[in-house]
Amino acid sequence: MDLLSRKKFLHSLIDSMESGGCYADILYINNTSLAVNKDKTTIDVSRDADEGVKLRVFDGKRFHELGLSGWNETSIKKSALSLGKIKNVAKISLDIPTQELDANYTALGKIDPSTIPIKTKLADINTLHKAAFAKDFANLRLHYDETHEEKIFVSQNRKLSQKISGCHIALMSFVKSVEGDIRLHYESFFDHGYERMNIKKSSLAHLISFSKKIAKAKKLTPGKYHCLLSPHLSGLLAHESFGHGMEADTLYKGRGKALEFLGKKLCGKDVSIADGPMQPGKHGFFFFDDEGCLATKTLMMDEGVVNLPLTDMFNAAKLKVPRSSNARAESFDRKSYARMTNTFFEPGTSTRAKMQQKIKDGLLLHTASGGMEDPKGWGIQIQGVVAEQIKNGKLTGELFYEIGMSGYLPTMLSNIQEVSKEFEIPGTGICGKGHKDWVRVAEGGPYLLIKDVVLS
Amino acid sequence: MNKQKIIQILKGQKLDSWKIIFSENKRCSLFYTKNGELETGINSSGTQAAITIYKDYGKQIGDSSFEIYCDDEDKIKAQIKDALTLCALAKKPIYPMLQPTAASVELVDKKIVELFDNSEQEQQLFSIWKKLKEATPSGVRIAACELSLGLSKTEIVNSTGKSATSQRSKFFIECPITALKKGLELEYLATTTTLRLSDFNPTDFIECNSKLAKDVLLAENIKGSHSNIALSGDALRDFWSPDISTNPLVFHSSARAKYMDLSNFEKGKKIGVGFTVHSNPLIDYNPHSSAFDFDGTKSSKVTFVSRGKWNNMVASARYAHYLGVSVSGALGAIEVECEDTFDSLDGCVEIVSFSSFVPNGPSGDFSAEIRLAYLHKGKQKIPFRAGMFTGNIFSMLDKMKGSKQTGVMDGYKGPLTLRLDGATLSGV
Repeated sequence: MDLLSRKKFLHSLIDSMESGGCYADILYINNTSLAVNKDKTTIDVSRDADEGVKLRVFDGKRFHELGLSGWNETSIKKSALSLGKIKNVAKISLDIPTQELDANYTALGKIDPSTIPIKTKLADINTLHKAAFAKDFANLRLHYDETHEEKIFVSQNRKLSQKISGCHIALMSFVKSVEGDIRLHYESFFDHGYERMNIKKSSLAHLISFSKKIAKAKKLTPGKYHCLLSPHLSGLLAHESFGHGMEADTLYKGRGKALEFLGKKLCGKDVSIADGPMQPGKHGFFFFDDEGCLATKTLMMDEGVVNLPLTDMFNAAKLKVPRSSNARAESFDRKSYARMTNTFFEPGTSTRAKMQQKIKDGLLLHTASGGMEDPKGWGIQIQGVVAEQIKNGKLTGELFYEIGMSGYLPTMLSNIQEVSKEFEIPGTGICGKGHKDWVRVAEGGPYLLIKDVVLS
Repeated sequence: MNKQKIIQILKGQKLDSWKIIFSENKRCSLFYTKNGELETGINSSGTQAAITIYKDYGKQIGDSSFEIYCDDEDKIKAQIKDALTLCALAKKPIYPMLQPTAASVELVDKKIVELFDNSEQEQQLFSIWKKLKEATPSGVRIAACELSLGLSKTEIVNSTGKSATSQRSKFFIECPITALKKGLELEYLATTTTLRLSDFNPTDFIECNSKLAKDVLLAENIKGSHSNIALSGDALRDFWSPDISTNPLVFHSSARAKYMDLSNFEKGKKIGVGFTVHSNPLIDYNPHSSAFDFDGTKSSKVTFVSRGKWNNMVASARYAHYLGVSVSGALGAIEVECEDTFDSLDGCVEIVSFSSFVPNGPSGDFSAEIRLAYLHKGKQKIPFRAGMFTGNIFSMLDKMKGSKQTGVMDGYKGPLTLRLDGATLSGV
């Protein structure tokens, strides 16, 4: 049964699911992927799949959900009938779309990866690995991950489907440091189509030269530094230190400090932070979320004022705030939570060159390995930062490795001096709610000039 | 899904060799939000099969795997054909296929099996929630709660004609606890995973974690720098995380990392003094225990550091063959023994919880913020937070001392407190 026929079948079950007076919806997920891992010793290839159906009803107070793996029409029908027996117990005050919409969306890139023969892919991977492998490397691991996501969402008024492909290439170089330990550098690339395999020579040259510099990188003396944050770092700051704290379920539970500041000024006018899945070609892109909300942009911080949270259906209703397209589930058997998508500071008016000139003795923060949220305390926790010294406005080439960034978010935001107009969203990572419920996201933004950044 | 049908399809294809991992899962989860309101209840079930096809090329072997959710013969045959194409493109030095065998380790709670058999799993979770609420002391509130019961069964069959089966039960709870005082609120995230319901006591869980939440609230930011660090509780468990990507000792004892030229493991090479570390997947009812690994290799305890020296590697069948070392099977809980013990923590900073502890596996470097720690001054235990614990794990191994009290946690067995004299912590 093709996707459109499955959509029709699932929609036909909604009436029976609502026979008890509840609200009902169904989400079908069919994700397949081709994963290739190549390093100097071996090549491993596998195909993974995650397929299932999530049926749920809302009785006025809570959701009742059933998750079934695979596609079995008999089991799906049986589950729909059992949910149809649940009676409505209270007024349903969810923000349910009333306008009917029947739409099908695709994002397959310029070159649909499924049209490229597998032999060509493996040959291209081998060629890319060879081109990126410098003789000084202890090893280089190339991870090629080609994903095909299919989703259907149906409710009384919504019949939606989307097909999104993704080509994600990660290059991990391992170099031996001057002290003898092994250090790792990571660069990644993403787009919907196979055109992403065409990685510029200049990007590979950068990977090689940066990895060699990391081998000589030193440890940083803990302290406060005048810093220029790259788009990658500014994105991580937006995501980890602010974005998680704006997820509506976190706010409703009283777990987010931002609740006290909704509508209030937190920092300067040049600081705005947004989230939204609507940018094609970014790792957090999609057409509609897992509760059928079409892609929207949410301005979480508007010129220094804490503005709107990221929502799912339940918590938007509880907080009485507008719905946004942020309800996402890791899989058919996991809960849909309010999650980020593509998260970024909005661009400003300065330039990277001007901002760097203003640093007499400071650092350019290039990359980081990740971070952790602290919505209640607004603490900043970003680890694995790689930084480069700036002296009198010029990069010196001296790197510092495995740095931790900490501090208090309002202080950090208030210390932002300038925001560049240069803007990109390079992130290709995954985000967990704590240490579970993983979803694909992207982060990025402009360069940020910030004083007194706490590093150790 | 008809397992025998899938096995017969593979046998009919006359493949050189193959492996199937059948998984069956059931789970029931409840999600509570503000004021103890139930937001969602989820019941899920699923079966899937992960199939690996192997093709023999003399001194080389090709392998490729795929996953299926149904036993449709045409679909499976198409996948096999695709996998054989991939085998030709993914050749590597040959390695043996072993007969699947299950180690003897207790992983399933009969009580949880009964609950699912009688469809009482959701009732059980309601009952646990009620006990948690009743045990909540004054001065704290449960901000939210996720409770989950699960049952899974894994069967590995391969072309040797043998199979091994393992069943596992699981209870999981994640509970942010907020302490309140004079308009100030801070939280402590309490989580635990057990395989046996009787290992979870709602009253103890709430009382212990409420105390930690209250201490987070009382804690001030630490100032200055401190050496003589001790680890306990969640911090100790995170430090010894049994995961190749987040534990440098595990990373470097991995045969796969050695084969990739990334490990500094050399048998007999000294990396510290007076400690021994094992991977132990055979601790009954430990969430990191297992009967076999993804090849069906029987789990076994491996001593990868013996009295401060690299000893044995943690190796799957493939990498054990490549390096000429023993096959160990799955990585289990990390078991630590210290020759030196200590009597007092006076003058020490005892870290009980990190905000996030993610060391760099290959280099051993780390930088982690403190969520909660205690400064021991005589009989006083002064709580504080913030501050950064930074360093390199390999440089801390010379001066490790363990408490005389030992115990078992999720993923760890050994001294309940570990002193790392020589490690440093920087205040804010």
